[in-house]
Amino acid sequence: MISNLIKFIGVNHINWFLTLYINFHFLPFKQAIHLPIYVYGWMRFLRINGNIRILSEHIHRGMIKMNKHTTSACSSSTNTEIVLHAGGELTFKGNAFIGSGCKIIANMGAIELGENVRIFNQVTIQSYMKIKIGDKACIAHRSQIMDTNSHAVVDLKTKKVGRTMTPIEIGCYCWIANSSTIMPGVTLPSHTIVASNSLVNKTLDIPQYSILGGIPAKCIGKEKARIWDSDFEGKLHHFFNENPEELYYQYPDEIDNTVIGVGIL
Amino acid sequence: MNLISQIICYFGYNHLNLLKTLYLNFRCLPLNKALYFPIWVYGNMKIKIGKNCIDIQCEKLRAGIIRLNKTNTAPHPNSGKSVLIVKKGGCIFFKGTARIGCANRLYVDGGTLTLGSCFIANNENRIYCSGNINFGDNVVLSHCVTVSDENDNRHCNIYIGDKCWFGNNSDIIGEVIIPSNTIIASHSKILNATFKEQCTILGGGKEHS
Repeated sequence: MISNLIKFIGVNHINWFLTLYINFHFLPFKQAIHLPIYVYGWMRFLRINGNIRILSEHIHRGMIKMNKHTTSACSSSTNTEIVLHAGGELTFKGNAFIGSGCKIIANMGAIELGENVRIFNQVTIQSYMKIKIGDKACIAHRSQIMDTNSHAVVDLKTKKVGRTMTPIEIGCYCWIANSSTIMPGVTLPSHTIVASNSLVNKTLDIPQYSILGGIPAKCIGKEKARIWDSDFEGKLHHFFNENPEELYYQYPDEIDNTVIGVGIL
Repeated sequence: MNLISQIICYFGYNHLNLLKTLYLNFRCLPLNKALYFPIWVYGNMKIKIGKNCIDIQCEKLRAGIIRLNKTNTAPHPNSGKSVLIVKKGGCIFFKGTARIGCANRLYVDGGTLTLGSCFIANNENRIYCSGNINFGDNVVLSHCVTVSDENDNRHCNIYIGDKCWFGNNSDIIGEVIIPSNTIIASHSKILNATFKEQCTILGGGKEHS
Protein backbone atom coordinates (compact mmCIF):
# COMPACT_ATOMS: atom_id res chain seq x y z
CA MET A 1 0.00 0.00 0.00
CA ILE A 2 2.70 2.49 1.04
CA SER A 3 4.94 1.52 -1.87
CA ASN A 4 1.99 2.07 -4.22
CA LEU A 5 1.50 5.54 -2.70
CA ILE A 6 5.18 6.36 -3.15
CA LYS A 7 5.01 5.20 -6.76
CA PHE A 8 1.87 7.30 -7.26
CA ILE A 9 3.66 10.44 -6.08
CA GLY A 10 6.81 9.69 -8.08
CA VAL A 11 5.09 9.61 -11.47
CA ASN A 12 3.32 12.55 -13.09
CA HIS A 13 -0.36 12.22 -13.88
CA ILE A 14 -2.76 13.51 -16.49
CA ASN A 15 -3.29 17.24 -16.27
CA TRP A 16 -6.96 17.43 -17.22
CA PHE A 17 -7.01 21.21 -17.51
CA LEU A 18 -4.18 21.34 -20.09
CA THR A 19 -5.48 18.17 -21.83
CA LEU A 20 -8.93 19.69 -22.35
CA TYR A 21 -7.47 23.03 -23.35
CA ILE A 22 -5.07 21.64 -25.96
CA ASN A 23 -7.59 19.27 -27.52
CA PHE A 24 -10.33 21.85 -27.87
CA HIS A 25 -8.05 24.77 -28.76
CA PHE A 26 -6.08 23.12 -31.56
CA LEU A 27 -8.19 20.28 -32.97
CA PRO A 28 -11.52 20.36 -34.79
CA PHE A 29 -14.44 19.47 -32.51
CA LYS A 30 -14.99 16.04 -34.10
CA GLN A 31 -11.43 15.01 -33.21
CA ALA A 32 -11.21 16.86 -29.90
CA ILE A 33 -14.23 15.08 -28.43
CA HIS A 34 -12.20 11.82 -28.44
CA LEU A 35 -9.43 13.51 -26.35
CA PRO A 36 -6.57 12.12 -28.49
CA ILE A 37 -3.86 14.19 -26.77
CA TYR A 38 -3.04 13.48 -23.14
CA VAL A 39 -0.83 15.95 -21.31
CA TYR A 40 0.88 14.81 -18.13
CA GLY A 41 2.13 17.08 -15.35
CA TRP A 42 2.84 20.74 -15.82
CA MET A 43 3.89 21.00 -19.44
CA ARG A 44 5.03 24.52 -20.27
CA PHE A 45 3.81 26.54 -23.23
CA LEU A 46 6.00 29.52 -24.09
CA ARG A 47 4.09 30.65 -27.21
CA ILE A 48 0.84 29.41 -28.74
CA ASN A 49 0.73 31.10 -32.16
CA GLY A 50 0.65 27.90 -34.22
CA ASN A 51 -1.26 24.72 -34.90
CA ILE A 52 -1.33 21.13 -33.75
CA ARG A 53 -2.94 18.71 -36.23
CA ILE A 54 -3.66 15.00 -36.31
CA LEU A 55 -3.80 13.34 -39.74
CA SER A 56 -5.16 9.93 -38.86
CA GLU A 57 -8.41 8.13 -39.51
CA HIS A 58 -8.40 6.13 -36.30
CA ILE A 59 -8.56 8.62 -33.51
CA HIS A 60 -8.84 7.28 -30.00
CA ARG A 61 -8.29 8.46 -26.46
CA GLY A 62 -4.73 9.08 -25.34
CA MET A 63 -3.08 8.16 -28.63
CA ILE A 64 -0.60 11.00 -28.17
CA LYS A 65 1.08 11.29 -24.81
CA MET A 66 3.13 14.34 -23.90
CA ASN A 67 5.44 15.01 -20.96
CA LYS A 68 5.01 11.52 -19.53
CA HIS A 69 7.60 10.13 -17.15
CA THR A 70 9.53 7.14 -18.47
CA THR A 71 11.99 4.66 -17.06
CA SER A 72 14.50 5.74 -19.73
CA ALA A 73 18.14 6.28 -18.78
CA CYS A 74 17.73 10.03 -18.37
CA SER A 75 16.11 11.98 -15.53
CA SER A 76 12.40 12.78 -15.95
CA SER A 77 12.40 15.50 -13.32
CA THR A 78 11.84 18.38 -15.74
CA ASN A 79 8.87 19.40 -17.85
CA THR A 80 8.47 19.54 -21.61
CA GLU A 81 8.24 22.95 -23.24
CA ILE A 82 6.38 23.71 -26.44
CA VAL A 83 6.92 26.83 -28.55
CA LEU A 84 4.57 27.27 -31.51
CA HIS A 85 5.44 30.62 -33.01
CA ALA A 86 4.50 32.48 -36.21
CA GLY A 87 2.25 29.75 -37.57
CA GLY A 88 4.50 26.83 -36.67
CA GLU A 89 2.83 23.45 -37.14
CA LEU A 90 3.11 20.21 -35.21
CA THR A 91 1.53 17.32 -37.12
CA PHE A 92 0.92 13.82 -35.82
CA LYS A 93 0.15 10.93 -38.17
CA GLY A 94 -0.84 8.49 -35.48
CA ASN A 95 0.20 7.40 -32.02
CA ALA A 96 3.12 9.30 -30.54
CA PHE A 97 4.99 9.49 -27.29
CA ILE A 98 6.90 12.54 -26.07
CA GLY A 99 8.83 12.19 -22.82
CA SER A 100 9.55 14.82 -20.20
CA GLY A 101 12.06 17.66 -20.40
CA CYS A 102 11.83 17.98 -24.19
CA LYS A 103 11.74 21.26 -26.05
CA ILE A 104 9.74 21.35 -29.25
CA ILE A 105 10.00 24.57 -31.23
CA ALA A 106 8.05 25.15 -34.44
CA ASN A 107 8.96 28.69 -35.42
CA MET A 108 7.40 29.28 -38.86
CA GLY A 109 8.32 25.67 -39.74
CA ALA A 110 6.54 22.35 -39.59
CA ILE A 111 7.29 19.23 -37.58
CA GLU A 112 5.73 16.04 -38.88
CA LEU A 113 5.81 12.96 -36.66
CA GLY A 114 4.94 9.59 -38.21
CA GLU A 115 3.03 6.78 -36.61
CA ASN A 116 4.31 5.37 -33.32
CA VAL A 117 7.21 7.81 -33.03
CA ARG A 118 8.82 7.72 -29.61
CA ILE A 119 10.74 10.72 -28.32
CA PHE A 120 12.40 10.24 -24.94
CA ASN A 121 13.54 12.71 -22.30
CA GLN A 122 15.28 16.05 -22.87
CA VAL A 123 15.18 15.93 -26.66
CA THR A 124 15.25 19.19 -28.62
CA ILE A 125 13.45 19.54 -31.95
CA GLN A 126 13.71 22.96 -33.55
CA SER A 127 12.04 23.63 -36.89
CA TYR A 128 12.27 26.79 -38.97
CA MET A 129 11.44 24.95 -42.24
CA LYS A 130 10.43 21.30 -42.10
CA ILE A 131 11.38 18.28 -40.04
CA LYS A 132 9.84 14.97 -41.03
CA ILE A 133 10.29 11.96 -38.77
CA GLY A 134 9.21 8.61 -40.21
CA ASP A 135 7.04 5.90 -38.70
CA LYS A 136 8.25 4.10 -35.59
CA ALA A 137 11.42 6.17 -35.30
CA CYS A 138 12.96 6.24 -31.85
CA ILE A 139 14.84 9.27 -30.58
CA ALA A 140 16.76 8.67 -27.40
CA HIS A 141 17.47 11.11 -24.59
CA ARG A 142 19.33 14.42 -25.03
CA SER A 143 19.36 14.26 -28.83
CA GLN A 144 18.90 17.39 -30.88
CA ILE A 145 17.26 17.74 -34.28
CA MET A 146 17.58 21.26 -35.65
CA ASP A 147 16.92 22.35 -39.23
CA THR A 148 18.52 25.74 -38.69
CA ASN A 149 21.89 27.11 -37.60
CA SER A 150 20.03 29.93 -35.77
CA HIS A 151 22.56 32.55 -36.96
CA ALA A 152 24.13 33.26 -40.33
CA VAL A 153 27.82 33.39 -41.27
CA VAL A 154 29.23 35.62 -44.02
CA ASP A 155 32.41 34.86 -45.98
CA LEU A 156 34.45 38.06 -45.77
CA LYS A 157 36.30 37.39 -49.10
CA THR A 158 33.44 36.38 -51.38
CA LYS A 159 30.75 38.28 -49.42
CA LYS A 160 28.40 35.30 -49.63
CA VAL A 161 26.11 34.22 -46.82
CA GLY A 162 25.57 30.48 -46.51
CA ARG A 163 22.14 28.95 -46.28
CA THR A 164 21.09 28.69 -42.65
CA MET A 165 18.11 26.38 -42.89
CA THR A 166 17.39 23.22 -44.88
CA PRO A 167 14.70 20.61 -44.22
CA ILE A 168 15.49 17.37 -42.40
CA GLU A 169 14.01 14.00 -43.24
CA ILE A 170 14.41 11.00 -40.97
CA GLY A 171 13.21 7.68 -42.38
CA CYS A 172 11.08 4.97 -40.82
CA TYR A 173 12.52 2.75 -38.07
CA CYS A 174 15.49 5.06 -37.53
CA TRP A 175 17.07 4.86 -34.11
CA ILE A 176 18.90 7.97 -32.95
CA ALA A 177 20.91 7.15 -29.85
CA ASN A 178 21.47 9.49 -26.94
CA SER A 179 23.14 12.92 -27.09
CA SER A 180 23.47 12.95 -30.88
CA THR A 181 22.80 15.99 -33.01
CA ILE A 182 21.18 16.08 -36.45
CA MET A 183 22.07 19.29 -38.32
CA PRO A 184 20.23 21.07 -41.20
CA GLY A 185 19.91 19.31 -44.56
CA VAL A 186 20.34 15.75 -43.31
CA THR A 187 18.34 12.92 -44.87
CA LEU A 188 18.55 9.55 -43.16
CA PRO A 189 17.29 6.49 -45.03
CA SER A 190 15.02 4.00 -43.26
CA HIS A 191 16.48 1.66 -40.62
CA THR A 192 19.51 3.90 -39.97
CA ILE A 193 21.13 3.78 -36.55
CA VAL A 194 22.92 6.92 -35.34
CA ALA A 195 25.44 6.06 -32.62
CA SER A 196 25.53 7.79 -29.27
CA ASN A 197 27.10 11.28 -29.06
CA SER A 198 27.52 11.71 -32.82
CA LEU A 199 27.04 14.79 -34.96
CA VAL A 200 25.40 14.21 -38.35
CA ASN A 201 26.07 17.38 -40.35
CA LYS A 202 25.41 16.32 -43.95
CA THR A 203 23.57 13.73 -45.99
CA LEU A 204 25.81 10.70 -46.52
CA ASP A 205 25.42 8.33 -49.44
CA ILE A 206 24.49 5.23 -47.45
CA PRO A 207 22.10 2.36 -48.04
CA GLN A 208 19.40 1.31 -45.59
CA TYR A 209 20.42 -0.66 -42.49
CA SER A 210 23.65 1.28 -41.79
CA ILE A 211 25.18 2.74 -38.64
CA LEU A 212 26.47 6.32 -38.49
CA GLY A 213 28.73 7.63 -35.75
CA GLY A 214 31.42 10.11 -34.75
CA ILE A 215 31.95 13.87 -34.85
CA PRO A 216 31.29 14.55 -37.75
CA ALA A 217 29.44 11.30 -38.49
CA LYS A 218 30.76 8.62 -40.84
CA CYS A 219 29.35 5.27 -41.87
CA ILE A 220 30.70 2.81 -39.28
CA GLY A 221 28.63 -0.25 -40.11
CA LYS A 222 26.50 -1.71 -42.86
CA GLU A 223 23.74 -4.31 -42.99
CA LYS A 224 22.91 -4.00 -39.34
CA ALA A 225 19.38 -3.60 -38.02
CA ARG A 226 17.94 -2.87 -34.63
CA ILE A 227 15.68 -5.51 -33.10
CA TRP A 228 12.32 -3.86 -32.48
CA ASP A 229 10.46 -6.89 -31.11
CA SER A 230 10.33 -6.31 -27.34
CA ASP A 231 9.52 -9.97 -26.54
CA PHE A 232 12.58 -11.10 -28.44
CA GLU A 233 14.67 -8.42 -26.69
CA GLY A 234 13.50 -9.87 -23.36
CA LYS A 235 14.61 -13.33 -24.45
CA LEU A 236 18.01 -11.95 -25.44
CA HIS A 237 18.42 -10.32 -21.99
CA HIS A 238 17.72 -13.68 -20.37
CA PHE A 239 20.11 -15.46 -22.73
CA PHE A 240 23.03 -13.09 -22.05
CA ASN A 241 22.33 -13.09 -18.30
CA GLU A 242 22.37 -16.87 -18.16
CA ASN A 243 25.45 -17.23 -20.40
CA PRO A 244 27.90 -14.57 -19.19
CA GLU A 245 30.74 -15.85 -21.39
CA GLU A 246 28.76 -15.92 -24.62
CA LEU A 247 29.55 -13.01 -26.97
CA TYR A 248 26.92 -13.68 -29.62
CA TYR A 249 23.47 -15.10 -29.95
CA GLN A 250 23.31 -17.11 -33.17
CA TYR A 251 19.99 -16.74 -34.89
CA PRO A 252 18.91 -20.30 -35.73
CA ASP A 253 17.04 -19.72 -38.97
CA GLU A 254 15.99 -16.93 -41.36
CA ILE A 255 15.44 -13.60 -39.58
CA ASP A 256 11.76 -12.87 -39.30
CA ASN A 257 10.77 -9.48 -40.75
CA THR A 258 8.72 -8.61 -37.69
CA VAL A 259 11.81 -8.88 -35.45
CA ILE A 260 13.58 -6.07 -37.28
CA GLY A 261 10.38 -4.11 -37.55
CA VAL A 262 9.44 -4.54 -41.20
CA GLY A 263 5.70 -4.48 -41.69
CA ILE A 264 4.63 -3.85 -38.10
CA LEU A 265 3.74 -0.54 -36.55
CA MET B 1 -9.70 31.26 -25.50
CA ASN B 2 -7.12 33.98 -26.11
CA LEU B 3 -7.10 34.93 -22.44
CA ILE B 4 -6.59 31.30 -21.37
CA SER B 5 -3.67 30.88 -23.78
CA GLN B 6 -2.10 34.04 -22.37
CA ILE B 7 -2.51 32.72 -18.85
CA ILE B 8 -0.96 29.37 -19.85
CA CYS B 9 1.97 31.18 -21.48
CA TYR B 10 2.35 33.32 -18.35
CA PHE B 11 2.91 30.18 -16.24
CA GLY B 12 5.46 28.90 -18.77
CA TYR B 13 7.90 31.70 -18.00
CA ASN B 14 10.11 32.48 -15.03
CA HIS B 15 9.17 35.79 -13.44
CA LEU B 16 11.11 38.35 -11.49
CA ASN B 17 12.01 37.09 -8.04
CA LEU B 18 12.00 40.24 -5.91
CA LEU B 19 13.42 38.63 -2.76
CA LYS B 20 16.46 37.14 -4.48
CA THR B 21 16.99 40.30 -6.54
CA LEU B 22 17.08 42.37 -3.34
CA TYR B 23 19.36 39.86 -1.61
CA LEU B 24 21.83 39.56 -4.49
CA ASN B 25 22.11 43.31 -5.18
CA PHE B 26 22.64 44.34 -1.58
CA ARG B 27 24.83 41.38 -0.70
CA CYS B 28 27.36 41.60 -3.48
CA LEU B 29 27.40 45.21 -4.70
CA PRO B 30 28.43 48.42 -2.92
CA LEU B 31 25.41 50.40 -1.69
CA ASN B 32 25.63 53.23 -4.23
CA LYS B 33 25.50 50.70 -7.09
CA ALA B 34 22.99 48.34 -5.47
CA LEU B 35 20.38 51.10 -5.27
CA TYR B 36 20.10 51.05 -9.07
CA PHE B 37 19.09 47.34 -8.95
CA PRO B 38 21.31 46.42 -11.92
CA ILE B 39 20.93 42.65 -11.35
CA TRP B 40 17.54 41.02 -11.81
CA VAL B 41 17.00 37.42 -10.77
CA TYR B 42 14.19 35.43 -12.38
CA GLY B 43 12.56 32.33 -10.93
CA ASN B 44 14.04 30.18 -8.22
CA MET B 45 17.79 30.47 -8.66
CA LYS B 46 20.41 29.02 -6.35
CA ILE B 47 22.81 31.64 -5.05
CA LYS B 48 25.77 31.09 -2.73
CA ILE B 49 27.83 34.20 -2.71
CA GLY B 50 30.19 36.19 -0.48
CA LYS B 51 30.10 39.90 0.30
CA ASN B 52 31.20 42.42 -2.36
CA CYS B 53 32.31 39.78 -4.83
CA ILE B 54 30.56 41.20 -7.90
CA ASP B 55 31.53 44.47 -9.54
CA ILE B 56 29.90 46.22 -12.46
CA GLN B 57 32.18 48.51 -14.43
CA CYS B 58 30.06 50.23 -17.05
CA GLU B 59 29.46 53.84 -17.98
CA LYS B 60 25.73 54.01 -17.42
CA LEU B 61 24.37 51.93 -14.58
CA ARG B 62 20.66 51.24 -14.83
CA ALA B 63 18.11 48.74 -13.59
CA GLY B 64 18.05 45.26 -15.10
CA ILE B 65 21.22 45.37 -17.18
CA ILE B 66 22.13 41.91 -15.87
CA ARG B 67 19.39 39.29 -15.99
CA LEU B 68 19.94 35.86 -14.52
CA ASN B 69 17.89 32.66 -14.98
CA LYS B 70 15.54 34.19 -17.55
CA THR B 71 13.37 31.92 -19.70
CA ASN B 72 14.15 32.03 -23.43
CA THR B 73 13.09 30.22 -26.59
CA ALA B 74 16.57 28.89 -27.38
CA PRO B 75 16.63 25.27 -28.55
CA HIS B 76 17.27 23.72 -25.16
CA PRO B 77 14.87 23.12 -22.26
CA ASN B 78 14.59 25.93 -19.73
CA SER B 79 13.81 23.59 -16.89
CA GLY B 80 16.28 23.52 -14.06
CA LYS B 81 17.54 26.43 -12.06
CA SER B 82 20.73 28.36 -12.59
CA VAL B 83 23.41 28.18 -9.91
CA LEU B 84 25.73 31.04 -9.00
CA ILE B 85 28.46 30.12 -6.53
CA VAL B 86 31.33 32.45 -5.69
CA LYS B 87 33.69 31.40 -2.92
CA LYS B 88 37.24 31.67 -1.55
CA GLY B 89 37.58 35.33 -2.49
CA GLY B 90 36.58 34.83 -6.12
CA CYS B 91 35.02 37.71 -8.00
CA ILE B 92 32.94 38.42 -11.10
CA PHE B 93 33.31 41.60 -13.15
CA PHE B 94 30.53 42.66 -15.49
CA LYS B 95 31.45 45.27 -18.11
CA GLY B 96 27.95 45.91 -19.38
CA THR B 97 24.71 44.09 -20.10
CA ALA B 98 24.50 40.33 -19.63
CA ARG B 99 21.68 37.87 -20.25
CA ILE B 100 22.14 34.49 -18.62
CA GLY B 101 19.50 31.83 -19.22
CA CYS B 102 18.24 28.90 -17.20
CA ALA B 103 20.12 25.88 -15.81
CA ASN B 104 23.49 27.62 -16.10
CA ARG B 105 26.25 27.00 -13.62
CA LEU B 106 28.61 29.85 -12.79
CA TYR B 107 31.11 28.47 -10.32
CA VAL B 108 33.92 30.82 -9.28
CA ASP B 109 36.29 29.12 -6.89
CA GLY B 110 38.85 31.76 -5.96
CA GLY B 111 39.36 33.01 -9.51
CA THR B 112 38.38 36.07 -11.50
CA LEU B 113 35.65 35.88 -14.11
CA THR B 114 35.26 38.89 -16.41
CA LEU B 115 32.23 39.14 -18.69
CA GLY B 116 32.27 41.78 -21.44
CA SER B 117 29.29 43.88 -22.41
CA CYS B 118 26.36 42.29 -24.30
CA PHE B 119 27.25 38.84 -22.96
CA ILE B 120 24.59 36.25 -23.80
CA ALA B 121 24.49 32.73 -22.41
CA ASN B 122 21.54 30.48 -23.29
CA ASN B 123 20.62 27.43 -21.27
CA GLU B 124 22.70 24.86 -19.41
CA ASN B 125 26.15 26.37 -19.86
CA ARG B 126 28.83 25.67 -17.28
CA ILE B 127 31.60 28.10 -16.41
CA TYR B 128 34.10 26.88 -13.81
CA CYS B 129 36.62 29.53 -12.88
CA SER B 130 39.50 29.00 -10.48
CA GLY B 131 42.15 31.04 -12.33
CA ASN B 132 41.30 33.75 -14.76
CA ILE B 133 38.60 33.76 -17.44
CA ASN B 134 38.15 36.83 -19.59
CA PHE B 135 35.26 37.11 -22.07
CA GLY B 136 35.29 40.00 -24.55
CA ASP B 137 32.30 42.04 -25.65
CA ASN B 138 29.35 40.57 -27.61
CA VAL B 139 30.16 36.94 -26.82
CA VAL B 140 27.31 34.47 -27.34
CA LEU B 141 27.27 31.02 -25.74
CA SER B 142 24.58 28.71 -27.07
CA HIS B 143 23.51 25.77 -24.93
CA CYS B 144 25.57 23.14 -23.04
CA VAL B 145 28.90 24.95 -23.43
CA THR B 146 31.59 24.18 -20.85
CA VAL B 147 34.31 26.72 -20.12
CA SER B 148 36.69 25.48 -17.45
CA ASP B 149 40.11 26.85 -16.61
CA GLU B 150 41.09 24.00 -14.34
CA ASN B 151 43.14 21.28 -15.99
CA ASP B 152 45.18 18.67 -14.09
CA ASN B 153 44.58 20.69 -10.90
CA ARG B 154 46.36 23.68 -12.44
CA HIS B 155 44.69 27.09 -12.54
CA CYS B 156 44.97 28.38 -16.10
CA ASN B 157 44.01 31.57 -17.92
CA ILE B 158 41.37 31.67 -20.63
CA TYR B 159 41.14 34.70 -22.87
CA ILE B 160 38.23 34.98 -25.30
CA GLY B 161 38.06 37.96 -27.67
CA ASP B 162 35.13 40.07 -28.84
CA LYS B 163 32.21 38.81 -30.96
CA CYS B 164 32.90 35.12 -30.46
CA TRP B 165 30.08 32.65 -30.98
CA PHE B 166 30.21 29.25 -29.29
CA GLY B 167 28.18 26.42 -30.81
CA ASN B 168 26.29 23.99 -28.65
CA ASN B 169 28.03 21.29 -26.59
CA SER B 170 31.51 22.79 -27.18
CA ASP B 171 34.13 22.51 -24.44
CA ILE B 172 36.92 25.00 -23.71
CA ILE B 173 39.32 23.57 -21.15
CA GLY B 174 42.74 24.63 -19.86
CA GLU B 175 45.06 27.36 -21.14
CA VAL B 176 43.17 28.74 -24.15
CA ILE B 177 43.40 31.96 -26.13
CA ILE B 178 40.70 32.61 -28.74
CA PRO B 179 40.96 35.82 -30.82
CA SER B 180 38.05 38.06 -31.77
CA ASN B 181 35.36 37.17 -34.34
CA THR B 182 35.86 33.43 -33.94
CA ILE B 183 33.08 30.88 -34.43
CA ILE B 184 33.42 27.64 -32.51
CA ALA B 185 31.47 24.84 -34.16
CA SER B 186 29.00 22.60 -32.41
CA HIS B 187 30.42 19.67 -30.37
CA SER B 188 34.04 20.89 -30.67
CA LYS B 189 36.59 20.37 -27.93
CA ILE B 190 39.38 22.88 -27.39
CA LEU B 191 42.04 21.81 -24.91
CA ASN B 192 45.13 23.89 -24.06
CA ALA B 193 45.36 25.72 -27.39
CA THR B 194 46.33 29.21 -28.53
CA PHE B 195 44.93 30.64 -31.76
CA LYS B 196 46.11 33.88 -33.34
CA GLU B 197 44.15 34.42 -36.55
CA GLN B 198 40.89 36.36 -36.34
CA CYS B 199 37.61 35.63 -38.24
CA THR B 200 38.03 31.85 -38.30
CA ILE B 201 35.84 28.85 -37.62
CA LEU B 202 37.21 26.27 -35.19
CA GLY B 203 35.70 22.80 -35.01
CA GLY B 204 36.30 19.11 -34.51
CA GLY B 205 36.92 16.55 -31.85
CA LYS B 206 40.20 17.88 -30.54
CA GLU B 207 41.67 21.28 -31.38
CA HIS B 208 45.31 21.88 -30.54
CA SER B 209 47.41 24.84 -31.47
